[in-house]
Amino acid sequence: MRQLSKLIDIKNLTVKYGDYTAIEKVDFSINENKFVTIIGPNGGGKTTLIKAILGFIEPHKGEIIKSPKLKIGYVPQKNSFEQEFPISVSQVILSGDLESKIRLLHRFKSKSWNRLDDTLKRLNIEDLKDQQINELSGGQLQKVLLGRAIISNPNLLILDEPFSNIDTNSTNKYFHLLKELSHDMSILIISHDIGIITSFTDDVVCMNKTAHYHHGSHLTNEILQDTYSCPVELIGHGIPHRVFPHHSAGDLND
Amino acid sequence: MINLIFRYEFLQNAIIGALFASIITGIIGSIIVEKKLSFGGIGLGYLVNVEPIHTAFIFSILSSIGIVKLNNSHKSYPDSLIGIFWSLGMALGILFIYLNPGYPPDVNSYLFGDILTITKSDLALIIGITVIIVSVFMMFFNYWLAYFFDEEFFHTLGFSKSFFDYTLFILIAIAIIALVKLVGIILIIALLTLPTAMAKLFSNTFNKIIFLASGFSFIFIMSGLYISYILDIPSGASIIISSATIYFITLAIKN
Repeated sequence: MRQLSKLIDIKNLTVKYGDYTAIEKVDFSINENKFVTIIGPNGGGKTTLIKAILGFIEPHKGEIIKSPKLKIGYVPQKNSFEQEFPISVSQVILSGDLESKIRLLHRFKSKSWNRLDDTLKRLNIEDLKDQQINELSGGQLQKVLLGRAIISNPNLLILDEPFSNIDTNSTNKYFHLLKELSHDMSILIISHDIGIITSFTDDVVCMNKTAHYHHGSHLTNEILQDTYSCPVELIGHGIPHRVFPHHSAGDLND
Repeated sequence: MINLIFRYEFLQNAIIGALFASIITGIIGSIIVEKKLSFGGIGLGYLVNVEPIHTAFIFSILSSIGIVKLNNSHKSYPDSLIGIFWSLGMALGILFIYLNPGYPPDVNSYLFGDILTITKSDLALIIGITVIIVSVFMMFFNYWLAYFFDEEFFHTLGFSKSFFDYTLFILIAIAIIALVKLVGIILIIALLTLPTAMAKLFSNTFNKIIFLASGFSFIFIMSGLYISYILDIPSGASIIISSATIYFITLAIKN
């Protein structure tokens, strides 16, 4: 069997906000072509972990070793961008293909326009091409943000709770889409839809300040109870993201 | 009035000034409105209430850097932060004007502006600032668009968010230096937001909003100028009153 190479190797990672420890001694790695879901309560440090991976925050201790071939595509939380900004779907998706070196009077080349068409087709949103962002439904918007993240063909797609304000049916479809994408790239996603996750994900990271990496998608009641610090009956009703663990003072980021 | 324009240089200066100022309000106004900097971004204007003009440049640029730095490190709302700089800048500005020896200070024209007193050197300054703003905006257009829509994602692409933060605030600061002669600092908020608000009634595309806002801004300033001439009232106030009137009439018709 081919040895899967590590895209990201997180070693003994601790992140603090002032005196408050957001995550502590996190240790796991993400291999190529893996679909990994992060679950855990608010204040558990999920978003902090992702922000550390993306380089938004500096670790207090430990390190995140990134493979030289790592190329990240990122889908942010719904409230992190200007939803009313007058920008078209094409412009948003193309912005994901900007190279990090700034060029004066930059114009997108035909290569980028072709990639835009491929991306729209892949996500089945060709009809939205010329629409403005502020005219889209929640589900459509999520697909556009996904398009922006994958247009540059990343090998790791990171998604931070993309399903807030999206109905279960759309969430299901979205997961199908991600499963399809996971043949070409690894996926690291924060999600609370525990019922849906289990049918799609390869592995699960349970985050509650520290991380437990579970191979496979089967989550026992003990694992869930441990992660959310609450009875498993509550978790099944979509409450976990509102339950704070006893030792947490509340996430500064979520 | 056409005859007068050919006869009087101050009227020609006012019209050329209005033309270039409209380009500035089109671009900077659209950014401020769409990025919802509203009160905050414009607050920076009070910082330029210092003479001579190069002191204003240095002061406003240093303040821009201060605002971005404080905002990044303390996570407070830029609006409240700029509000603090706003009042401080205005207080310092008035202090400097009064400390200035010689002629009695003309605080009134600073607060309310007077487009009819634009000199050739003011004009050169307005044109220079317009060239800077248009160039910086056009040269990085695709990057600006990505930055305006989603700063966090922009950062993940490997770009420096702070560089664009600083540049944007500096552009806003110099835009206000250019506009202060026309309508004065108190009315700048209106001149930066009204044309864009009007443009948004007709378009939902950023580029078009900028072009339309520039056009409306010119119409607003010229009609204000005309009314100020006819009724013999202060030009700054008449520009804003006529802008708001045209806007509300259009809004009513559109609805």
